[in-house]
Amino acid sequence: MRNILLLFILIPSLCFSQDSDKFAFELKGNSFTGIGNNFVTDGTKTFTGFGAGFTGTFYKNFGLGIEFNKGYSEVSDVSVFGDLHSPQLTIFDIYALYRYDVNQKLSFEGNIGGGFSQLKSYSNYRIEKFTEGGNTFFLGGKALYSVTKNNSLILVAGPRFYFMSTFTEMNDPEIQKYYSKATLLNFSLGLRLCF
Amino acid sequence: MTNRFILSAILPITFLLAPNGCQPEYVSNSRIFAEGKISSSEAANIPVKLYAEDILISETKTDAQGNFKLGGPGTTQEKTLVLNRKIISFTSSDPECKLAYDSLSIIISAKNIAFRFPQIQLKP
Repeated sequence: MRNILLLFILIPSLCFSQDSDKFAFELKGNSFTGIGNNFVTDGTKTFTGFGAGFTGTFYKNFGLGIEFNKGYSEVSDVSVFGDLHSPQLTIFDIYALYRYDVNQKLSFEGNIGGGFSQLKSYSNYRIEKFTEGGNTFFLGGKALYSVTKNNSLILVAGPRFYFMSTFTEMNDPEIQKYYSKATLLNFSLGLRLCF
Repeated sequence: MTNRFILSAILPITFLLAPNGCQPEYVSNSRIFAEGKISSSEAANIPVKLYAEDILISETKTDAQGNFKLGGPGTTQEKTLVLNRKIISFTSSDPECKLAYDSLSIIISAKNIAFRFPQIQLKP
């Protein structure tokens, strides 16, 4: 927790110590699909939603970013996920990035990070929602293509692997793994506004 | 006399109107799972439902061999595994599980864990 607070202080302080063309605001569309053998893969459809983030490049091509993602889905198998509906996925994460510039227009970025996740589902029987909190770790890549000449508007797209681990505990290790560890494949497409 | 009448009539009503603290609620970050096998001549395609009173937690149907698996959100209070057929006997991973009075369901303890019912014998 303290490390994360430190990052929060670190990011803005580094931001304002730099002058130009280093910082960007990103808006994107997202999809999250469960892969492997877990309750998200078997119990829900693909989540679609949006994401917003802020990135800064500080040392050469290394940088940091913070991001908020949201996805909406439906239950595909009641016997796995339970009689719930409209599950919502919320992910908040902080990550490190490295950018490799191919040419003036095109570059690639590698991301590694982690944060918090929450899966919230609605019920037909109670107003209160059923929530499953957890941690996530992710690895991903992005392709960046500059739309404008001065690199102020950049088209961003790429895949990511999210490894979600919820706080759910059970007496059986195999079933606990099934209901608490989920791998999500994420695709995003968005715009990055540099300033 | 009238006083006594009012008391005897109104007191129970106030109990009924009072917010019911015995309703089951969802428990965040918890899951319940049940699996089992129905061993009788016609074991396929039997609906199996898991309730916490009025909350339907999960539902499924048995496969051709009579196996079923279901999981759902954890709740407070006891759950019932409803088969809607007369159950003669069953074996369970949890000794606290018991047969309901009408023998149509199995009452599961309040824990949100994995339960196994390797053998559920139904009345033919």
